[in-house]
Amino acid sequence: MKMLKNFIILGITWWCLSITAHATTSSDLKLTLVQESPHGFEETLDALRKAILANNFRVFPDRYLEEGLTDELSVNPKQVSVRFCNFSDLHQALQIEPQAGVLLPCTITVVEDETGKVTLVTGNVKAMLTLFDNPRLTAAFQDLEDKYQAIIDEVTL
Amino acid sequence: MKRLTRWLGVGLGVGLSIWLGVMALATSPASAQEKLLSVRTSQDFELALEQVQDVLRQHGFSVAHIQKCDSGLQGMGYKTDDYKIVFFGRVEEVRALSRQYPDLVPLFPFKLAIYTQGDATVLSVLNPESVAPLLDADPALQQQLQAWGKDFRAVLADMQTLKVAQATLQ
Repeated sequence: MKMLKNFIILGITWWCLSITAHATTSSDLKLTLVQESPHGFEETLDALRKAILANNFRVFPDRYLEEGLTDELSVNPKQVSVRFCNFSDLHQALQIEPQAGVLLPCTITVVEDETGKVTLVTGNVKAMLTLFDNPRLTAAFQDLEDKYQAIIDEVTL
Repeated sequence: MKRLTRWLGVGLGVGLSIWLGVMALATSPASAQEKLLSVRTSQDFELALEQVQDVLRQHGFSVAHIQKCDSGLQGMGYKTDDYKIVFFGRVEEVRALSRQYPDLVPLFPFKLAIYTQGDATVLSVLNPESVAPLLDADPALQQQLQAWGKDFRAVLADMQTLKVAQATLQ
């Protein structure tokens, strides 16, 4: 009887630990990095392009977030995505995980809201990597998060 | 008798522990569903690329643009198979939800990867439901993520049906 009691306690402890571990993981990791810019909208965009170039990425033409989803005159011009790529990283990512294209994080979006507040929004690489369950991909790109943070810090600090 | 009771107790205890452990894993949202949704088809790559755009439109999505990862990589000297990303979405959803939930912005427009793998063409898209824990999604957002998940599955299912229809015609 004593042993049964011990096993039940062990089981409940295991269950609680599993739930806690899961809760910690999901609450610690957020899908998105959001940081407010001390600059105006255009100034932030300009600083962002320069910071991306300085971090060895190739910058592509900007796109409005709604571009292509509606006509040109209807898009919100205060939501601009700055797109960039490091082809070596892209090639490596697709070699390791061909599905990586569904979440290519190579975009930082600058948003100005109705109050004039300007924010930079981008995917959190660490969180995105968890969606692939691919340890090789995680190992190869865990440092990418730091590059993104460095770019954002350069713009906002 | 006492010994039998003791062994029964041990058995029950072990069984209960395993059940509780399995329940813990099963109730984890990450393991409860696929994180990525994919279909593999024998359809020609270019044809599949054309058809998936039509199918997306049939499901009320607009195709924003197509990113030619393969051309970009080849232009930089890398050898690669066909690989394109179709960006798509519904403007009213992007407009409303990017304001209400700024954390969704990196998902917009949605991305569907289409690529060649051996003789097959593969279409992959993120299962939106799988990001709910990373967004601390409230019930309304969870419902929206589920609705997108349902739409994406329907798009991929239609791609497989089209493949069957095409094979029947040939």
